[in-house]
Amino acid sequence: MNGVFKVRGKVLLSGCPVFGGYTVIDVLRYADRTVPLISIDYPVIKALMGFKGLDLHYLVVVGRQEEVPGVLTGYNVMTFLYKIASTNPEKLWAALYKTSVYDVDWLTLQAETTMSVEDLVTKMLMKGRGFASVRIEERFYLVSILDVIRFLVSSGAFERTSHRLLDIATRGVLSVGMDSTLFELLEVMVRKRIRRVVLEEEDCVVTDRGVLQYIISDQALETLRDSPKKLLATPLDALTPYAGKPVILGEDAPLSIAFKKLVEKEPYTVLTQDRKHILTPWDTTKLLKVS
Amino acid sequence: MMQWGLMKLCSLNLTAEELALLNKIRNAAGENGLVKVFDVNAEGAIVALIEVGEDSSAEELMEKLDMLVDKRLLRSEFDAKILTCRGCGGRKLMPKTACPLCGSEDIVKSAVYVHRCGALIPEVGVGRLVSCPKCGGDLGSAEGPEHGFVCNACGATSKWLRVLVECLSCGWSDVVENAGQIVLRRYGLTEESLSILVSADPVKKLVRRLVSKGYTVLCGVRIRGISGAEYTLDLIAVNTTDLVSKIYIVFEKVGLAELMDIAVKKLDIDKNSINGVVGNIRWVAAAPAIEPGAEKVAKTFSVDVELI
Repeated sequence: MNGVFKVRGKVLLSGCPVFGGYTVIDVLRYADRTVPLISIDYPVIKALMGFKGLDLHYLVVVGRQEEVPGVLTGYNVMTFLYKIASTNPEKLWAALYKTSVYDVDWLTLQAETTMSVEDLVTKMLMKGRGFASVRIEERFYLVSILDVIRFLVSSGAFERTSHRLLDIATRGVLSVGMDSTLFELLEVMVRKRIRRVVLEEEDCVVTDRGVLQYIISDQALETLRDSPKKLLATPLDALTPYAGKPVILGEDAPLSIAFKKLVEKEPYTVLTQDRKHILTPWDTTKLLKVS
Repeated sequence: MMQWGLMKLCSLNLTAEELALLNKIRNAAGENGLVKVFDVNAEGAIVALIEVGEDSSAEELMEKLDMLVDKRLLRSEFDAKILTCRGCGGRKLMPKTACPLCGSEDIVKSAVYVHRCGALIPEVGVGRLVSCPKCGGDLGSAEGPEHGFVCNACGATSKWLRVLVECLSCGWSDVVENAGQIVLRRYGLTEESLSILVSADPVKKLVRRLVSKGYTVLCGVRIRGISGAEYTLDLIAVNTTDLVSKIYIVFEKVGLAELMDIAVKKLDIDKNSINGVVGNIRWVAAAPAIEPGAEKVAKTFSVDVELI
């Protein structure tokens, strides 16, 4: 995949020095190999119990005839809940039991262990997916864009670029007030297709995983079961235990510093001091454009 | 009331006492698998031939065994019928026979011939009579001889006797139909109860363990969840003394998938909708094998893990 190619009308040049000559097998060392596999036939509620029991970031979904695994993340669950909540919130609980994971998960990209990291990131950008599956013998492993960054940070790859935070950070940080409800938060994240939202008064970031962690807490699950509308009307201060403080850096911070700070802890987010720009793992794909 | 609530839940519930009874039947069974459990003594009292607790009577034991028959944990077959006195209940009854027409006991056996009109003619009369005393027809067509009886008091001829019994203890006397009767049955295990007692099946093993610990156990309880999904709960064990109820889901092994499964059920089932459970209600994932780390995960679901 060397040379010039187009993604959504934009011309990209390959050969970014950050990605070096690394391959997917190098990144696999940073992937979580303990993530359990779940069947596509499982109801969504059962998958939620998997998230709850093991405090996972995602689940690998298997069982398709074509043998391409899927991935179930907090964002999938959130999107599912939002769709049902928008039309028939009273049916939320039953929907969790009657909808299979097959109807909710994303298919992953497929990658070979010998594929270059640059090609992997390019493929992720082209398909708009932050996960790729790698098959080694009979077992699937998932590599996420965050795993790629962890690897690049540890290998010192970001030292090879002179780019600054502002060069690839996304302008326009979406935020919601603490008086907003859970449903309004879901609406913002699903409609804008984002996984991170700043909670204004708290100066913290809630992610799709944070929302999921809140929903699978004992109390929220009981409320979801007994009174779904009440749960959807929950003010966002209930979610603050599941939100995290972003790293705040100056606009001119070197990318090597920005990504090093980003991978340290959840919510894996860097904000500029003026709070106008946000750096997330997905912004790594912009390194291709910058090239 | 408690027992009624439990009975409604499923086809099988079992107490420690019932399990002990099943074991006794199993140990005493002969080649055909049946045990003669009862007899009647000279006073007409039912006596148990297997050991019964001091606080229990043979009649109570019979009730319990018949209840196990109703639950299909025992099968029973006819063993004997004992006639008893309506006056004193004793079993020392002397049989008597009497004429069905006049009631006189002066009735003797006699060969009889049956005329085509239905008339019974005693053997002694065949030589004397020239025609049927009832229809006047020719006696040549009379068939016989057959067994019959002739009353010396009224002269009636009959095929049957009136049978009376007289109690040697109190003197009560009546026709045999009016005597009391006790039917004794022999008992044996059914396939289901045999499997509960000896099976290596994890559910059956668990039943044995729980029942011996004083729990009343219900098997295969079907219930509908709040979502509308239907579930079968493998076992519900209730201890009314300690006010503890345990809801068991039994697996081949307990790992993440199994814990996810039980957590899903636990969330969806309103415990107040389960008849018969009392006190502190715990959900238990039980299996002959438990994967490493399962107990830690189980804690996040507030589920107990138990090795069978």
